[in-house]
Amino acid sequence: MSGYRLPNPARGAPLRFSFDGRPFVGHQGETLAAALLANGERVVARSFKYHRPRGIYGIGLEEPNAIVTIDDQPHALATRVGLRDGLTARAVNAWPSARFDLRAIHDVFGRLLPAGFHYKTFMGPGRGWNLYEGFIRRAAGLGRIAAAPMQWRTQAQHAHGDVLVVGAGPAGIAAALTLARAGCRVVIADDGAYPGGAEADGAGVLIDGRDADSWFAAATAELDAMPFVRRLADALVTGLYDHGFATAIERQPKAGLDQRLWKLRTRAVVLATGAIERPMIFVNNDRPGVMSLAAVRGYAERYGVACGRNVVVFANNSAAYADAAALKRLGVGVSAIVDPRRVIASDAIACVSALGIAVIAAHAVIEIAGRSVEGVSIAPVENLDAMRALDCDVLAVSGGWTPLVHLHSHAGGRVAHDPALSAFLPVADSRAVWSAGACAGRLGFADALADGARVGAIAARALGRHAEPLDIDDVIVRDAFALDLESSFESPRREPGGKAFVDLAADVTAEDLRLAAREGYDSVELMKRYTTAGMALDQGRHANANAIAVLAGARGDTPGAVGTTTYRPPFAPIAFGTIADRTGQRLVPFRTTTLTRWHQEARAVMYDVGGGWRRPGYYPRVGQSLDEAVAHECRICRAKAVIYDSSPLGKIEIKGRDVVTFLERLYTNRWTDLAPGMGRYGMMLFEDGRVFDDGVVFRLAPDHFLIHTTTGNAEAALQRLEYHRQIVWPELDLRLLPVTTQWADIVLCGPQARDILAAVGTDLDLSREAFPFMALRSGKVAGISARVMRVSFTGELSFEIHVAARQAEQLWLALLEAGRAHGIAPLGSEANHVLRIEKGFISVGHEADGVADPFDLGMKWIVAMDKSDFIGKRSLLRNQRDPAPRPQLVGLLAPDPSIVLPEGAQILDAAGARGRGYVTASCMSPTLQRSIALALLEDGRKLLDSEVRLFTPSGETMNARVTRPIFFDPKSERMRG
Amino acid sequence: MLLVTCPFCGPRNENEFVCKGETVTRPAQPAALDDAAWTAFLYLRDNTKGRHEEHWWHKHGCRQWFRAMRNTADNRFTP
Amino acid sequence: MSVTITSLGAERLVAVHAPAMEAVPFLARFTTLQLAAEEFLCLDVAAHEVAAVLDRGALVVDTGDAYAGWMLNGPDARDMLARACALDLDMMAIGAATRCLMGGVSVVLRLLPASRFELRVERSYAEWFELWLRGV
Repeated sequence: MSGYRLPNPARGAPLRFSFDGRPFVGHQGETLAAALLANGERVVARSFKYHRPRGIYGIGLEEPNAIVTIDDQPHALATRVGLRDGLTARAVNAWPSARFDLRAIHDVFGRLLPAGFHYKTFMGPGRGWNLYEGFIRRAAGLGRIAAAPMQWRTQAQHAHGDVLVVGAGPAGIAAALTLARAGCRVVIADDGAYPGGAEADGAGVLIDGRDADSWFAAATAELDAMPFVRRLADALVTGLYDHGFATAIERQPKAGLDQRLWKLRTRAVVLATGAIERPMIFVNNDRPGVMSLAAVRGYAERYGVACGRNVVVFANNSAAYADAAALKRLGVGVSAIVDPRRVIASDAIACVSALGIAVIAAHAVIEIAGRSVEGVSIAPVENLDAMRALDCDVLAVSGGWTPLVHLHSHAGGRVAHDPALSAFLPVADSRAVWSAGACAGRLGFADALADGARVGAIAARALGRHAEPLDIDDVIVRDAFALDLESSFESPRREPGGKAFVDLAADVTAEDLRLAAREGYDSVELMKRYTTAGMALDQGRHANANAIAVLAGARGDTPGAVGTTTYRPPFAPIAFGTIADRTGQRLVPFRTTTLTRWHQEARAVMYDVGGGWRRPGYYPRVGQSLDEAVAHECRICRAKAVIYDSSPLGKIEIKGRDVVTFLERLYTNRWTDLAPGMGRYGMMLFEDGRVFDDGVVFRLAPDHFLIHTTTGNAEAALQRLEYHRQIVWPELDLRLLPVTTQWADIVLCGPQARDILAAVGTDLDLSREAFPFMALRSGKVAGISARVMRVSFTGELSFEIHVAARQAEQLWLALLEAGRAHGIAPLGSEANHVLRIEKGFISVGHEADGVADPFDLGMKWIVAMDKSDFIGKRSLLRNQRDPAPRPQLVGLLAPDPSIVLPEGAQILDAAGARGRGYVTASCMSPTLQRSIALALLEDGRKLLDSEVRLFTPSGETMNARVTRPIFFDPKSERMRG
Repeated sequence: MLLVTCPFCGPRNENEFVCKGETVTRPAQPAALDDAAWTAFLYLRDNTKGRHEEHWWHKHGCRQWFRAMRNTADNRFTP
Repeated sequence: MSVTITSLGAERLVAVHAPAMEAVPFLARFTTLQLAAEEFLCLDVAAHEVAAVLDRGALVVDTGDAYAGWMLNGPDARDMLARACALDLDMMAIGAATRCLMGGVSVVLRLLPASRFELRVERSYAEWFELWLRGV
């Protein structure tokens, strides 16, 4: 037992919580880690690979060991979990508990599991992998994901400003005050519940005579009172992206919300992200009881928790002496500082000596015996024979400070190594991103404060505002000693063997890094991937600086020459649920027509297809299968009449003096000879000759056209028209507007269509002479203003009726009523598919498959090659010269008429080795009472009436006979009637 | 999330736009080009590291097409 | 959370594509939103009335059935919009209108006095968009 509560009158209300099934008492305002330490818990975790017992090391985000599952959420850090009544926490990676873990057997075999072992083992026999994998998966990993869906409520929120300040420590607050007073819109985000910076910051600091707490309180109040300042607390900025975009995760923003994702956009960013303390490297430096010195001080300062009764400090820098002194003054027993440096600043020594702390200079901690700190072995750095034991229950280590430069690096910032700090510092560039305070290497409260004000003024000037200097005359810090760092220190070893950890979270030792270098993985990126150093949950925050130093030593190089790996967002783990922002029905937009409700009430089976439209596939009567329903709808269409909803088709109105010129350039067709009131089936190609889209184009007036596109290409067609209008031919006089959803399109088709249209009531002359195929007429249908077009996709006599969308249902019901005596029925997309296959009409996405050109599809009649130019013509000319066989549209008939050839089946060449085509569309035809299919086949037109062999997606082969790609009414007399 | 400046609407998030890629000029007379030159127009782009002139379309906005100069190494837009 | 979301119901809307110099002076007599350099949306007017004041070269289209709209109202309306929309609303004037992106679809947004907002989407998205908006 070591941790205990210091006598402290001011604590929050008591709370009950449990850890690994055991009950504990904590206090409101404590973190789980503080409460566990206060209760004397030493072993709270097991390490990733070796399952070594671990204790709490740090106090915040730098914590590498204490990963816990909270209720059903895995991967929380005990140092960042706020205690609440009834909290249940379990250690991850330990079974049955952290204190007693059966997988500790891994530590016994530790010598067989060095870095990179997984690249060299489990190689054979190959079939054994199925056995290995199960075992390895169970042994590896952290935490368990709950089987039941989690309750996870999140929101995303946008916020804007002139400048984002990240961090509300002395540098961040100084910058924010400077900027806000200069009139900038400021967003300031800090990971803690309130400003003040790291827990140990501010103690013993007087700002113009006021203590740090009250200075921060006043600054916070001033910022909160300003309307253009937004202050986010408990909000961790996780990524900095291009153009001043940043993301932050706010924890428990309000009742009923677990997290809020902030999407921040500002013109400038000031980073005041601070620095974290580095560990020392010696054998068994991972034992419970080894802690960061700043954390030990912070637990005493913030939570009134002493981590041990007898703390020994192991540090290679003089700033640590101030922390040791402060700790002693708070009532925690600190007996000695072990310092490998020979020469130590006298003021630092004097300060601690006056408090009764011994200074053991030129000595290092060599190793820890035992599974927990009950004492350490120290020796003079130059003479390991003089090793002796030193009594303690906590070893507080301080190996220097690592500025947090992640956000600076995310958006492309570079870093450079500073030998004095033995750390990588941000290099300023021309982006509006500045670093201030400890993250820029200005350690210490007074320096950070001044730097924040300085950088705030620079940022304000860059934003076009004038900033006044901060109204602070004097900052007095008790016990401020210059860092005087001896570079990253690794204790010498008495004997080879033993684990000296560099990355506690990934269980990577100094020897692992040197092994990687010996095996040739000596660049920093390879070292990371080979050893997994820096790849654990904390992404190497505590470890990277030391790892780079060890690698540098192995290479005989400087850390600056080794460099860092690339920092990428997120800075800390983010739950997928927080990023997702919406799920289920809200995830992907779906589109409906004004008839969708009718289709649903008629119990149509609805499909979400092309472009997100929710459309009726078929209308089964009770007990009918899909095939039966489709066959029924097809028969009705060919024998009587059907109606279907064609509203999703893209529609664009285009007008102007140069509209015909424009359309002739965009389409394969000629348009000059199209009379007003008539339409023509048009085709657009890509520049490389492939079919892009098809649809009927109507001329409303000499300079005014209505274009139809396929449903799925409506947006792409608009994009293409606008590109050519605005960029390619801006000199043309043109106006265009999309009108897709203004109109509902109801198609009435079948032999009885004319009769039904007359029956429903219309002022239009429906006779063949007055209203020929492809004509457009405006008038009233069932009392509703309408445009009626004779267009057919089914091959039957067909009237496409456009009415304003809100009147669609009225018209639909009127047609159903008028057609009842004729046997009318609604038609779905499945039946439509069958009917168009019977007619050999191509469909974009099937036959127009992104490879075929119109000649391949047998549609040379649609291409006016005598036009001087149109999009696609140049490539058509090239295709016509192409000696290689082209895919050509053909029909296929299976020898057994009851077998439907699978769509996508490959047509094999004579040797059966290569595909030379495939089935594009296939169905059972109720009209012909046999199966039919369309296919693209190389040189298909030369192969009419021959047999080909198909290879199906399910692995069978079957034969088929090649035929013309039309199966019904080859002269199309029915639709022209 | 890039911030793209539309000439009409001002700065907007990149997801309001479609980037067509490197600007190309459609040949005035495609018939006059040989196959190699036509292939180059269809498929070959400089793909510069550095200043890259691009065509953007403000799809979820004013539907204007415009030219923008983006540095492909650091995503900075310059006028 | 205090926001009311009210459907705008059936509206009279007219879309216009015409050069700004020719159109703006004449469209000013109607409530007109300028969505692009040459694209306008006129509220509460019939297509023939708009066509009557413009040059015959202008493209004037009735879009009364092409949109669905909602009014957002209430003390939390502004915050709700800041979740739905990535625009910097502080930089937009009262009365301004623009087309922008929300939830993956184009939305015509209009700022009204007293912290009220009008949102209009292409009608086919209406059912989905309302579902999305109420969950924002």
